Amino acid sequence: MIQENPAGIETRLDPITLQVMTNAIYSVADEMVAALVCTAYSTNIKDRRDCSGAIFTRSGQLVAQGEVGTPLHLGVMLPAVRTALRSVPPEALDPDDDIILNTPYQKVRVILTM
Amino acid sequence: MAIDVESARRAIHQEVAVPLGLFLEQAAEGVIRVINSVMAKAIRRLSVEKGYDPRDFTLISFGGGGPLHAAKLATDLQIPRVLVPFAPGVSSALGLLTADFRHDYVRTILSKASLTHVDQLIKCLADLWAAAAAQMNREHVDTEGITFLPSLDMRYLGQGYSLQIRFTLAELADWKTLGPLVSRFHDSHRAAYSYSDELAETEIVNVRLAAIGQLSKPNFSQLPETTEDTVSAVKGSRNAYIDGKFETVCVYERSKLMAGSRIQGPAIVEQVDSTTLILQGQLGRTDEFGNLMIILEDQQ
Repeated sequence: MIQENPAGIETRLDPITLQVMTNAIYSVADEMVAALVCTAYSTNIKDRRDCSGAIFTRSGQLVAQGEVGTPLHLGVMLPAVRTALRSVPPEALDPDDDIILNTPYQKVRVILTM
Repeated sequence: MAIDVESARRAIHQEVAVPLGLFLEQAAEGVIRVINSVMAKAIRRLSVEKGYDPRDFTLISFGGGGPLHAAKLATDLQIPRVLVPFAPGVSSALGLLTADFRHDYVRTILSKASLTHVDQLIKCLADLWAAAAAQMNREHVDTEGITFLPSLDMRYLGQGYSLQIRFTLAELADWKTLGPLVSRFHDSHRAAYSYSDELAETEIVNVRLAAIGQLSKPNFSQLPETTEDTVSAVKGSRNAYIDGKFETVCVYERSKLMAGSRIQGPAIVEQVDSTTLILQGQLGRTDEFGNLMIILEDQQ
């Protein structure tokens, strides 16, 4: 679905490819939420679905937010991810690393590596 | 049904191609690409929510239009094979007439696995078994031939969603503890969500028993075997726009395919109730009952 482009990322996409990519990236975000809800212990997650899944670029730009979840989080996701990336630059992150923070406007408190 | 190609061209041109600045065929293929990506998204989400990876399955494609999309959906979702039944347009009706009787029985017990005894499960399943046998008896299904499929809905204590853990009545009779079921649950959880917690308490939510009363099976006629190529089933060729370019694609008549027929993609297979598209690099193979299996390039 997504074609490799060795020369780098294309800056212009045709409208069809854009829509196809949009659906694919949204489905990743939706899958994240589905897995989180199905495995959650917290009533806030498993019953109220008070959670969101989203895909960001390395520089902290929002690409897609899952359709299942809480639209309200749109406002806090952006500063939360940017705060996290300020404290832990993307090049310091390894696959499977998690960042946990509960103060989105301040420094990251805990970094947990699985 | 008569199809007006010129009207279709005009509509796509005016409504899609011109506003988006695309060629006619680009626009038409774009419509298909977008709808395919929406279907792929739905398949992924429904599978993941149930804890299944679509890559472990065969995509069964039916309905009049399904087989037009299936080969591309399988490619995008990395599903290794597509099964197109011999009459995809009437598969649901055929299933309605020939499917076995099935009744599902469920009892909620909400019990920690560590505090549940095998005997409790045996007793519970015996009750469900008796209810199933009585109902099948009322429906005049031969009770000798009933298949029973027991399972438990299990989760880690505190979770809201459970996974279905299957076992057989014979296995259960052999087990002294619920240990094997608990370890089967950990395995399922790991397979579905990539982790398990062996130290956590597990909970049994429901005890389930599916009872399947078998009806006599219809006798489908078998197709003659062939080792020859499929030239005799070719009814022509067509200039088709696939993946951004025109190419000449062989058109096959489905009813002329025999057991063992092989079709190399790209190909179009037409039949009275549906049309199947096989893509470049994919292989179509017919079995003795006329089912068409499309095998993806990296699976051949």
